[in-house]
Amino acid sequence: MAQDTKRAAVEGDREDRISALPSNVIDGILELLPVKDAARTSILAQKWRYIWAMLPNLVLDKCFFGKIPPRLFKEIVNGILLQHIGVIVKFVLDFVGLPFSTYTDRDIDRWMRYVTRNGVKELTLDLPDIRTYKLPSYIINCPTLTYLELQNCLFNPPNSFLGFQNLIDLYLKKITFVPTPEFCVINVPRLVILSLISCDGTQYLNIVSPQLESLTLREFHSLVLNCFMNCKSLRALVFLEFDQVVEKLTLDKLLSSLPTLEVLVLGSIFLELLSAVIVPKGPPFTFYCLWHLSLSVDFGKLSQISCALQLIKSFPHLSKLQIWVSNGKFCGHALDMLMIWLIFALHTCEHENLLGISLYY
Amino acid sequence: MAEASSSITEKFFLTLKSSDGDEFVLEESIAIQSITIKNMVEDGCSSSVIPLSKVDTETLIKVIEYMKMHSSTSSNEEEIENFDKKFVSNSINTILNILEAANFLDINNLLELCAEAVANRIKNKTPEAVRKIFNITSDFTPEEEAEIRNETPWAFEGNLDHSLD
Repeated sequence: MAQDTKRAAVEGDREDRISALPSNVIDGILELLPVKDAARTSILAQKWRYIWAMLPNLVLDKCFFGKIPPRLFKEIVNGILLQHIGVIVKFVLDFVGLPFSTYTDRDIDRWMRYVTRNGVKELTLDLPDIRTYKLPSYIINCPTLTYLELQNCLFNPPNSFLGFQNLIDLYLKKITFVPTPEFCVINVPRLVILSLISCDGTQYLNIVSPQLESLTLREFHSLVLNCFMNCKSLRALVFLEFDQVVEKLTLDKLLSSLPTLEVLVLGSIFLELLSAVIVPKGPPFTFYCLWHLSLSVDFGKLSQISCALQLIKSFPHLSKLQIWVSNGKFCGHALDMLMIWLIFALHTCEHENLLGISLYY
Repeated sequence: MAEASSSITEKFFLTLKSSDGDEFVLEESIAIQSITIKNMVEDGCSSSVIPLSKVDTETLIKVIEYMKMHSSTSSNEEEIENFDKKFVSNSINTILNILEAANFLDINNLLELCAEAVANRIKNKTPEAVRKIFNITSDFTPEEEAEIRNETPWAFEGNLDHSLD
């Protein structure tokens, strides 16, 4: 056996096994490498010369740019795209957290024009805070996109805007929606996941997405919920880190219109808001499908505690409950007491399926 | 529990034959992690021995070891994790053989595991080190090499690893 292995090892030593692998397997290996490492394989041998240039996924992020002098960013992105052969399915350009560089909005335009004409399906464009890049029409009207992530851009849809016809997942962070004379209707017939983080101008939006299943809204100063009233298939709702909410009555209206909700995550400001409606009369809704509830509760405010309990009561099939203590005054022993009290209170709700309660502070 | 279920659902066994002519008997439920074998079973081609002309005995033993560990019934997550860690510490030639077999047999998890192990041996290495690790012979002239370096000079800068680990 020892001899066998030794012989095999010697034979193996002479043979170039990796270059003989089927091309789909070699592509699969290079796909796992960062761009810098993949690019270096072009020098290994003739057979490897153009494999990396044909890879359909290009991820140019902090990890990539972090090792390069900022003055070269522009030249390098230009070079990579000029050398590329064939379709680009996934393109990530992430300049967030990097030092100032010399590329301009016109350069970004050129890069975006190139990838949107080469069949891009998954596009990420994350720009640093100082930028207010105006999204060009060829991104907004790109028919091949299924995933789009944008950060620090100006969204000013052209008159010809049809919505994103094939988009499934949309992630917008620090996007400013430019006011339009009429409501900006974003027609996203196939959208399943929508995340809006710290965006401005959402009051000018009307989002039409009959298939939307997951909606996340975070870090807003204020928000109008009206634009989501048409999303009737929601299964997961995450509202977190708001300073204030402008309208007082739309949240319970929105919740009442979502009978298929399965996951609900609410920040404490929403409990405050709901308590005015829920605490005196009890919740106007019951969610039979909801199994995961995560609440951020300010235990210094009785209204929030009562509201949380009332909410829990209206989810009879809850199996996972997370409570985030958002008031720092409670710690140690007080929290233990709180937990005991909570479990006791929940037992009276007759939740048969409730398996896990977690408390975070 | 196990007895009760085995008396109801009969266990089926398959015989896999390596390119060296060795035969291995394996439970069907374990073997069909390979989509290639699963398709053969569904097409009714599995009544006799399944010949795997592209997989030698040494490699097939490793693949079967992997499939047994990853079959849903027997192992817990921690065991599987430890097994995988040890599995990828096989010599690079063994990994490449298994990778090719996993591609032929269409066992996605195994393919991913081995592809990652190979990628890790390329990551951050100089081209010279990669050539030595994988026995790749350069067929470029020095002028051509200089030209390729010039295309993506940024890819060849920084602290690259010369070691053959």
